[in-house]
Amino acid sequence: MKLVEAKGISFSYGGDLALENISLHIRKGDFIGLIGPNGSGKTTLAKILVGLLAPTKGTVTRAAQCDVGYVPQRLEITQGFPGTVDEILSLRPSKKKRHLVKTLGITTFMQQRFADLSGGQQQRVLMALSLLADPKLLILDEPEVGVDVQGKENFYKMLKELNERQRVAIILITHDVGLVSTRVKRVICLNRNICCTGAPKETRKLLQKVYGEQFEVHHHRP
Amino acid sequence: MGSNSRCITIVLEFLHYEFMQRALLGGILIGITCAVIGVFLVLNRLSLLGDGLAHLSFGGIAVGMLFGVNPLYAALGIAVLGALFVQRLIQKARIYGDAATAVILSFGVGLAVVIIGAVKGFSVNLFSFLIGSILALSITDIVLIATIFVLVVGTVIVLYKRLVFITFSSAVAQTNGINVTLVNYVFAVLTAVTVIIAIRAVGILLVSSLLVIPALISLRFSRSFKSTLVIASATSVVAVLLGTFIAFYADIPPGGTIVLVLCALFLGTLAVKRTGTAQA
Repeated sequence: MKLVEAKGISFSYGGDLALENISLHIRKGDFIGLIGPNGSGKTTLAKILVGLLAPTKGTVTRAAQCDVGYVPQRLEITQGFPGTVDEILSLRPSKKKRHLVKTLGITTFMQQRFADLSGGQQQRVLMALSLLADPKLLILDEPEVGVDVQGKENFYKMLKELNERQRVAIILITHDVGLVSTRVKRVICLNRNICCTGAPKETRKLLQKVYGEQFEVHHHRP
Repeated sequence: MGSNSRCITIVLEFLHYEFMQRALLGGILIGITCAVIGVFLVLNRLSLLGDGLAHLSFGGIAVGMLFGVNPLYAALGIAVLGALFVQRLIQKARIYGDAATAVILSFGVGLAVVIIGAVKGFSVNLFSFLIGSILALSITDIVLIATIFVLVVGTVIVLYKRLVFITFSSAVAQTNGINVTLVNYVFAVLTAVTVIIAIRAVGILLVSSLLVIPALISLRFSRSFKSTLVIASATSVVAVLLGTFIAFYADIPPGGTIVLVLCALFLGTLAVKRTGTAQA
């Protein structure tokens, strides 16, 4: 079942072309790693798929009742925001709140201010907020930034469970090429247009060429 | 006991005058309104929007005087249009908020200067709006202030979750079905009407202090979003009342005194404690 389908989409900021003729679809249960160098259009593509931006060319079709959860880069969250975790998770009324708080291990810092949390804790709160709406598709923009190694491990374990048990489709934007090669089911390499796409094994050679040693080091990590 | 009864006597004397009762009531309402709007402005990095709208209002007041319309109503109309224009520039033209504010600020002052230059005899009346006077509030002013208080605080209560969500992250708010553009336009109008009543208390030149400083003080101590609003409101009310009280007994301008009290409170909090992270 196609949740979202993009056909021939392009996007430009003023006169600068950020995306050119992108076509892709996301199905239920997909786990896609979206990679590419800085400025390659990853965040722009995510915002178009979520509906935050409208493409200048092409169309995006979303399946009926396909709620999309979006976890932005933490840079997009207001610095020094004084609200507590409880206040943030109450912004969207949902019966799932209690369950998510427990599952994501948020209970102990519910009354703390979001701004005072560690990177990993903030990431879990953003994740919980995006899951309150019970989305069929979850788009995460560089969620690993500022999170320690153990935090990353727990986070990806959680994503895997979400993807396998609940069949939530996930698009993970990342610079961690090693992660892409070991965790996701499909890779899309973007640089204004789609350079390559396929299973991690199929795209390995090209990724090695683009990312060189970084790919090797991460790839052999257990 | 002696000093207590002296304090009570001073306060009773203070409250004896009708103009003082109006000043206190107006001050409390203006203080709360400015603090509530100010918290959202500061967190959304629009701290100088109030200043820009106040200076734009200066042009509106001059236009009102030129055409024989109540200057505050003329200022209100122009400030609302200016606030909507700033939002339009931010959202459609992708201009930074501070740059968009600079445009309307310059326009307002330029308009006022041209009218003052062209029509003699306006400058004295216009000057009174620059520094404001909470001690000169009339019954009509109080009615206007109370109406705007109810409008602003009531709207913030109704839109509370949406405003907080957008302040947290406009992108996440939008993906959760909130019409961010519409809420931002409504908030811009609330800011404009708040600026107009703040002008009566502290004048055009000092409006931004009533909007920004209570929020900054509050963000240093608050432990939640709701407590930020409460502490900011309480700080603002204390500063307005204390400033008015000092100004009355020292026979000095109340607008400037209120702002100096706010600045003193802010400097005091810098020395006391720092609980927050980066302040916007």
